[in-house]
Amino acid sequence: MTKRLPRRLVAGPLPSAHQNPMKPVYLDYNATTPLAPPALEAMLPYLRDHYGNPSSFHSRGARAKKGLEEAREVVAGHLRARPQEIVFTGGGSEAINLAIKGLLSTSQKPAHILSCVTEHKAVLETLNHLRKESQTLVTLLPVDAEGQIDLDQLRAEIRKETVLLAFMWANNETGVLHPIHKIGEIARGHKIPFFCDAVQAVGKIPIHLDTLPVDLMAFSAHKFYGPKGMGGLYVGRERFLPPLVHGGHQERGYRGGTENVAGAVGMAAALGWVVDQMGRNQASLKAMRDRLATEIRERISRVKIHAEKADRLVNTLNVSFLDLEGQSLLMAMDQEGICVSQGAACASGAIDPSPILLAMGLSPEEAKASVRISLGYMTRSQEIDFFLDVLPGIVKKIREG
Amino acid sequence: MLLDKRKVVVAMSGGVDSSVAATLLLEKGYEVIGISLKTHVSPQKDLCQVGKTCCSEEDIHDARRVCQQLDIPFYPLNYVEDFRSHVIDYFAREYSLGRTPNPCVMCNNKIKFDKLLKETKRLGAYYLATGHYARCEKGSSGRKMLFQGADEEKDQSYFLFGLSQDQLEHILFPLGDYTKADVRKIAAQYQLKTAEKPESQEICFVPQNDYAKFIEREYPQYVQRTGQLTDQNGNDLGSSKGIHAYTIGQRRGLGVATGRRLYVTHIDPETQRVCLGPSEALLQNRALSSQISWVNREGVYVGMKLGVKIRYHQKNVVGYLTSLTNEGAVIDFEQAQRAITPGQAIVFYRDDEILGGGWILKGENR
Repeated sequence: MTKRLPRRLVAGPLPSAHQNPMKPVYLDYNATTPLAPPALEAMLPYLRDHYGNPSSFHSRGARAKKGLEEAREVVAGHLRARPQEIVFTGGGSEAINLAIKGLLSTSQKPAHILSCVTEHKAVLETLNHLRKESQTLVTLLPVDAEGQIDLDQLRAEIRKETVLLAFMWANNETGVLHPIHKIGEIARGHKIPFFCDAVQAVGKIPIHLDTLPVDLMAFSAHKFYGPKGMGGLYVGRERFLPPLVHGGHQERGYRGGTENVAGAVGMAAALGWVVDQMGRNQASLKAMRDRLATEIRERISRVKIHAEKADRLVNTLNVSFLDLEGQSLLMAMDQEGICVSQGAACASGAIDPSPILLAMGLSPEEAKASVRISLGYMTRSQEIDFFLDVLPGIVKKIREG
Repeated sequence: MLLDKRKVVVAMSGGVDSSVAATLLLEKGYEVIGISLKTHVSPQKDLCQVGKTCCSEEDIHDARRVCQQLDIPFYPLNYVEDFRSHVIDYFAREYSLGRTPNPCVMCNNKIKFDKLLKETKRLGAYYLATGHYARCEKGSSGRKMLFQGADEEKDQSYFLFGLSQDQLEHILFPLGDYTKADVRKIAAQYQLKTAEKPESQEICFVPQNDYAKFIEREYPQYVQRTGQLTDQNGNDLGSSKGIHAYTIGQRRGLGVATGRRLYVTHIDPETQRVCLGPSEALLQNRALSSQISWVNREGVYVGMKLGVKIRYHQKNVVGYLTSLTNEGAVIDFEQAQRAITPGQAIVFYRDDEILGGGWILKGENR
């Protein structure tokens, strides 16, 4: 006999001391974003009706192909690139792998890659793999206490074997922006290809590839209100990159496999939506973030805000509440319906101390005490109010507990 | 802080026992939160074989799936550093001192019923529950009393001797009245993902139960290979692998061929000597122990007749509390016991009630 728990027992937590009227308060936009309504609307016809295979000869296929190529044009247009420079991928990590591995496989050996300690795992693990598999030499530049690299040091580390500079635009945990224009100019000066992981930048800052000295740039739809499992790689001047995924000649040979048409259409619509939001709501987003920082400082003692002096994304606030463990705080916040995050999740979902904050010179205790708060265009000021009302009590409880 | 008596955190190991513990609490109407602890990082990933419960990631995954089935919140917490400093370091150090550690007791004392209990209270929950087979009841005097689990085979009270009254006030053992067979049945009725999961291995952080290899790899500073194997009279029988690789009563892997069966009877960390002898040499009728803690000290007196366990898989044997001081206790057994092992827990019972326990310093003959 199969037993089921009575519904009333599993209907979720009992009401707690604080009633969260807008559960959940979602302040984890750097992890992922909700789907923009126009993106969902744009995708639905491609899930319902236009199901053809873009490679098919017939009209159903042609209809899907039209959506795919229009999406490519829209994405290219918003990034100020040419459509043939946009390769659709199954997400940001795939775009990063395609860029780095593809470029390396066409390079002279021995090859040297110059990157940074605070890069995303998708970059660092790819470099690690290449180091082991093909004896690629890798130099990771350190960062200062504000998470910034030293451009003189970057110049000094370039060798004659250097075949790639790989630097992220915006850091996922701290929001710190690398000087991409300047890095690109250095790369151009040495005639070295420059790959930029712009996964956290697209949808948060304007990107004009026509004036940007970048050769390859990865992005991910779900970070800018598009669907998950969809991303892209900008390949400047149609540089040749051998595919990671062998198959048909989809994506002009960069990537085999039937295209995710609905995903591409959704990504294009989301990008359009987010560019519009950026134009109108950037100041209010920054104001909410800055208000969070100010009031957290006022209401809570022993607080350390990270990379505050650096050029940063306006939506990101990384803060340590000293003398507590961030994981305890995250759990208590979640119980109140507040979603924030910390550090790097391991395979089990448990949180390891952030290597990025450690690289900035924080002690392990300070790193473990950190919380990343990231806002987005759906964030309402009432959510910030609620967050600020609840946070001091929770921090106090955990510090005393 | 006001704690909610209807709210309980369940320590989810990813096994069937804690899965059912959570289920039973939900049946009773508690608000349940599942927490798993990431306690260690598998030192060699390739040792993790699919389908084997040796990798904590797998176990955390299973715990999460059960919580999803039960529709309760689930959080995996990183306790790697605390577990290393309180449990794994202790484990390796004890072996290097010629003792045989009990990491499960240490994990209960320092991790589950200390750090995790504090975490529980921070969440506003009054109770922490685990899937241990033990029963806790309130006695007539208002004191908490801890009893062996209803399932004699599975009784885990031995590992819980370090619990205090304060801790017990906040702990629930939902499986205390159930047998393992009951638990499997309940898991099957609810179609829990862990219903047919095999029992976990003995020491969660030691791959393939090869603890000597584990210490050699992770704690080379504790490994000395200079010692000798000797017989009861001190005659040299060859060189030892280092005292960390031996435990009292061990027969296998000694590498000595003498025609008769030899056992490790004594380990001397000072001289790094490992003494071997016949089976009879393992018999002793007195145990000296230290760091005694009491679950319930009421009615305990010197000279008292006790049920005693000196290892987990053992029926209680009769012993007398011959001496009790701040430093420790002396237990005299009615019948000589085999392989009284320094470093193991010695636990005292009154019938099926667990009174307390401590750590064995050594065995001797009175």
